[in-house]
Amino acid sequence: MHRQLEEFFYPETLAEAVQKKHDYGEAAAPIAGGTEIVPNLPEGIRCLIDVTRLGLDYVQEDDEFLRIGATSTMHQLAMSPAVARLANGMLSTSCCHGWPKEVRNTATLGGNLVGAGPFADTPPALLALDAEVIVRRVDGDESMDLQDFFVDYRRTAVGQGILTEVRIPKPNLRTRGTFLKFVRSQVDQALVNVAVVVELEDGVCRKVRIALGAIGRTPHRVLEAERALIDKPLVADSIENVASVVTELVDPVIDLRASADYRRELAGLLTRRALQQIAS
Amino acid sequence: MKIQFEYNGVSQEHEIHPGTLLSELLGADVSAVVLDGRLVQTKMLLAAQAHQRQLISQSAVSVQRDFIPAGVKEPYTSAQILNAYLLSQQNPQASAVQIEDAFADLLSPDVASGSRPEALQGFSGCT
Repeated sequence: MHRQLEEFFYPETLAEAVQKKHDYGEAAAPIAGGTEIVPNLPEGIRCLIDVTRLGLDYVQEDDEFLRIGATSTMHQLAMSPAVARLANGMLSTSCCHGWPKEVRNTATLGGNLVGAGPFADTPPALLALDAEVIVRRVDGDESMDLQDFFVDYRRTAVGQGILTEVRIPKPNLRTRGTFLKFVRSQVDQALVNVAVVVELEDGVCRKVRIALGAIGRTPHRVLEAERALIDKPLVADSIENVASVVTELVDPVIDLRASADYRRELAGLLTRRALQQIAS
Repeated sequence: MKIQFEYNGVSQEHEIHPGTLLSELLGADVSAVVLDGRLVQTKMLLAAQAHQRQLISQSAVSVQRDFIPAGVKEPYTSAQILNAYLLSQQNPQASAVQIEDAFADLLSPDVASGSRPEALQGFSGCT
């Protein structure tokens, strides 16, 4: 029982939802699946706004983008052919690897992003895919790069708005991707997760994205490691070099599950494996 | 607040506190339900989330033993019984491999019962 809650609101329109969020300010939060917010209800939240009845559970694609509604569940995404076609299905993998069925059936993409847990799986995959998010505010929609969305540990730039959509530019046919996660058991959160996207042209890396989760206060890209691979062939030497750069650069969180040194080693190891997978 | 839902085919109305968990409303023995066709854990949802939804509990379905892998021993959990029920509805011709797959990623009973809550909750020991 969360006694601090005073209201559970069922908006009929997105405008109503946003207005309610605006009226309550920090004391209101949207709820969809609830797997983030029900067990971890933040102090001070007095109102929850049910956003599951607003038609935001869609996966649509056009020539340029894959658009995913914020209340799409992890199960929905894991089963979506359109999501599976994206960069070797890396986002699909991040939506199902280690998600027990009962959680996958209710957890939503929006919740995974707005919860901003550093150990979440979809953020690194989406960062590597250059995703942007659409936030509905009282005065209209705001789009922002996902890397600007994660502000700090469990803090995002969503503010008084409501996350409505994740928009992923469709990669070209030369783009390959992978998502890897290191866990102790099926239902544990990641000790480290990594998402890598590489656009190859005649064996040379033209675009590189390397994103890590469970390593810092927020999921983030490792820009220096990405630059180390640009215009280089994707071969053993260059892969080893990038893995070393990642190991050197990361500044891991420490918790009872893993030391900083262990996470640092894992980050390099997973990056190497991810690049090797892409190269093969 | 007042909520209404259909529970095992019967329409129900309840006056609840907005912070009531679904498990608190339905009773601790109802650890899992099928909510609008999806298997969910009742302690992970607020009762208010069930408003205008359709719920099915273990007590309303017969145990479909043919849809439970041989390796899963009795007593079955609510989630296992409901999972078998869903599978029997969705894929009556499911093969042994499909049945194994359908059970492979269920929450293990110790996690579902809350004895390992850290597996589901955000980890706050981050520095």
